[in-house]
Amino acid sequence: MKGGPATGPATGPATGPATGPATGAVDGSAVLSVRGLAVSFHSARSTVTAVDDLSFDLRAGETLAVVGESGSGKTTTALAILGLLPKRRARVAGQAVFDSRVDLLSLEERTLQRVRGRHISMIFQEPMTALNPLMTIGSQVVESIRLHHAMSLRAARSEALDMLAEVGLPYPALAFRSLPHQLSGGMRQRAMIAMAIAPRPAILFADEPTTALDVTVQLRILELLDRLKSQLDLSIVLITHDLGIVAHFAARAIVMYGGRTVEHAAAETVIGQPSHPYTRSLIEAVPSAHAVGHRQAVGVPGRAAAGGRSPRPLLEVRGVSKSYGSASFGRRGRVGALRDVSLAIAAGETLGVVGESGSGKTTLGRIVACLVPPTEGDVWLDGRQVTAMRGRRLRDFRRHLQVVQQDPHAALNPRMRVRDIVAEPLRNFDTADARERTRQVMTTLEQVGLGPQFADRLPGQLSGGQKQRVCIARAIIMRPKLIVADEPTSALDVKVQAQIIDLWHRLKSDLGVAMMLISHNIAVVAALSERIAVMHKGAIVEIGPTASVIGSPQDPYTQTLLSSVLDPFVPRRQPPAVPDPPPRRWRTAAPCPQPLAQAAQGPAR
Amino acid sequence: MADILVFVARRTAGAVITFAAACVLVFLLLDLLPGDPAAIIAGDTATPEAAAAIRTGLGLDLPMTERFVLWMSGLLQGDLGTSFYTRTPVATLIVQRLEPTLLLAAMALLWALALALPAGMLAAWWSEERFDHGWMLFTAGAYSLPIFVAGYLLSYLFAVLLGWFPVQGFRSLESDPLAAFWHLVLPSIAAALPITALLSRVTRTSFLEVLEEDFIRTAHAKGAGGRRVLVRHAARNAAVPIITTIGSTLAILIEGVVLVEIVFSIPGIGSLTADAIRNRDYPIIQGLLVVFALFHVVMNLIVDVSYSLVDPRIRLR
Repeated sequence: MKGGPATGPATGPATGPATGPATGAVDGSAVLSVRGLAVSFHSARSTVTAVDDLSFDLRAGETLAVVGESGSGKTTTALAILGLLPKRRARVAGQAVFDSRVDLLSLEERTLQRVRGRHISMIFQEPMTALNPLMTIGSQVVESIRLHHAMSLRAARSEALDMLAEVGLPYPALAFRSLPHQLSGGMRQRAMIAMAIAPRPAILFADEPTTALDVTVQLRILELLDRLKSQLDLSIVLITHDLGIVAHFAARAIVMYGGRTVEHAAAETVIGQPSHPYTRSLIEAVPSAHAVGHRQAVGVPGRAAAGGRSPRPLLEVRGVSKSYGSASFGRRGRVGALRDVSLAIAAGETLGVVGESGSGKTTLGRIVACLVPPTEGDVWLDGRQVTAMRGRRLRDFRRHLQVVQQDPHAALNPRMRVRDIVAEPLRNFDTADARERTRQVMTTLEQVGLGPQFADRLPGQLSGGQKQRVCIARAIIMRPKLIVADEPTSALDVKVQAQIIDLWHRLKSDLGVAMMLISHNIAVVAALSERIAVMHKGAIVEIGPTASVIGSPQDPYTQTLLSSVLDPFVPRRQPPAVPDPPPRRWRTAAPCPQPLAQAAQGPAR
Repeated sequence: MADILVFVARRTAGAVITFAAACVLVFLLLDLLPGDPAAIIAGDTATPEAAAAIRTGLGLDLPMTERFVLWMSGLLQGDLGTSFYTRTPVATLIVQRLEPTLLLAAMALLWALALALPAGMLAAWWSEERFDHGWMLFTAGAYSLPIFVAGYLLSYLFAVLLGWFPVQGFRSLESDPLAAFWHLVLPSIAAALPITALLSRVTRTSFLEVLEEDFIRTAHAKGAGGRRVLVRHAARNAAVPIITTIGSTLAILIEGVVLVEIVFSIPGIGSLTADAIRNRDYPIIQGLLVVFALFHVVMNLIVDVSYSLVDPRIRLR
């Protein structure tokens, strides 16, 4: 049993708050001491153990990472300590002693309310849903201050405004009056952090705080947390699935699997010399963008790379632009999603398209897949202009062009059996009789690594990885010439992601299918693509062979993007300090921020 | 502030168009129905000539387009036509009967809101506990009991047996406000039953959904107490579907009021409607339908505007 802490109580400086930089001074006392925490969920039919005999100490001023895949019990741990689990279904046992004084798990709800937010705060994965959509950012921060500190409304307002500035929100006075949906994702998470730290808690639980954000924003948020930690004397429990984050931002880490602790050590030990086989498998599964140079030399199909450009590429995108918006507002109301994009993909080649949210990568994928028409430009596949096709011809042409989407849970009809889902393209194009269909379905399922026993299952009976395999089977059964895959691994755990990447590798060489692989995850793209296109604000800023784009990026944006990637084994490069861009409306409508005091008093009465 | 005025203006324009379309439909609908009012007025024993004379007298022999123009231009001036039977202007008839119906409907709506909203909210907060189960049982009963059965039951229990309330009838607000209220208690409760049931179920579902949201967990994590979470964080977010339902329950309310007026012999729009249909008094039916349409359009406009006040994202979209 690896129950207790692997390292003994540290003998650091006994007095004084931690004031050092980043991973600086940590004094030895535990602000939170968890012993034998066990959580189980009861329902009429079953009892599920979510956390089993978990013990750890959180030391003052440190960042402790809790790592694990979905379902490992890491979030449940945080919610249990804060008493936020549904009382009727959850049974919580053990101790969680705060500040060597009180056992939080034995407190009455009323008393616990005075601890929550005041001494221990929490921020969540998705700031869009974690903030009240109908309350302004300002009033949510003010509320969290006034719940715990007797303070006049005016004083709380100016305090809240200071907090918003402190977490690096541009135009804090405007953010104060905004509703959550008016801010970008990164700004929302900053607002969430401001709300959590405004009552000056001692401990912050951060539950996947950057998982929903772009990599460049992720890095800035993590750096903000790191700065606040030393400024405000915070101790942070950082719940994450991302080993890169652990390596760069945590002092110690707990690895959880199935509700149990499998590893508990200093972060560099967990990453560098993991002792438990599960941790090792987890680390091996992390795709690495920086290590891609080696892999490239090995497994490239000859056609694309060796002979330079083939005479006629399979796919050609020529000067494609796309703008959205209603015509009634004239040109001003239109939003450009793509600007003059041109690229080509050779037969059997995989082109990776990377970019952050809003870069236009998904729009490009949809245009290539003939799901939306471009505003300008055209797309040629196999020597035919697909953007000019309509009706029956287009429908018939789709057999050459298949799509795999991000969320396999949503992409499969829950009422159809696997065999029918995979056979559907065959039915659509009426290419085989019933017996031949069954044969092809079984072969294809085998190709994606699913045995015949899966044929009669419903999607609800499959895991996330198995569902994605079914989606892939459906895409390849017609032997298409091109597959457009939009974030095909983003909804999956890291180990499953590694398996799916392996599968794609095998299918590429087995079938010789060309692929446009769209992802925000540079490492995934680098692992699978011969060439990479980097998109930013609707345009391709850089395109070239994977090794050269990753190894010596030319465009400044590509450089920023790459330096934001947290690779567990590569020291962090210092990215240029760029603030979160304010929403488009602010840039045009609000030339100068109001004087702070005036905004803090709210709208004039 | 400007955005809300634009929003209201846009919705009002939409409402006017809807109402105009409804008026055209009302005219066409009745014209296409079978049954000759002239023959009914003339009676079973009348000669065809007598019926034809009546038809000419009522202007029913004119071509449809001409009658439509006449009817619409009258409508624009507030003239809803003249009753075939009593020869009184329809507008006058409706205005005379408006007071009891409006009082009854308003009181029923008040009971429903006062009971359904808090009860639905508490049922969600204590979901799957005793109060929730009890209240859900009550709403199932209240919704499935036909309104005329409920009306007679209430009347028998509280008026005939216990004698607490008058058995039937109506007093105008002007003559005796207390008696007016007293006469309306049982009818308004009967009319309120189904919409109370519907509204509290929607309220419960809406709150249950919102209470599962992430931001409710955030509010708990901030250290907010139960009542604060419910009132400050959940209520406003749960309000939009509830307000929408209030709008659509009005149709059920009107239907209930018509039946209740007959059960309790209240001289309101409901009994006017029943009489007019029995007599095939087309101008009155048309006039009533126009008034109902206007009522619905205005209520839906109010609902639209009020949920845009609750949720600013609706008008900013």
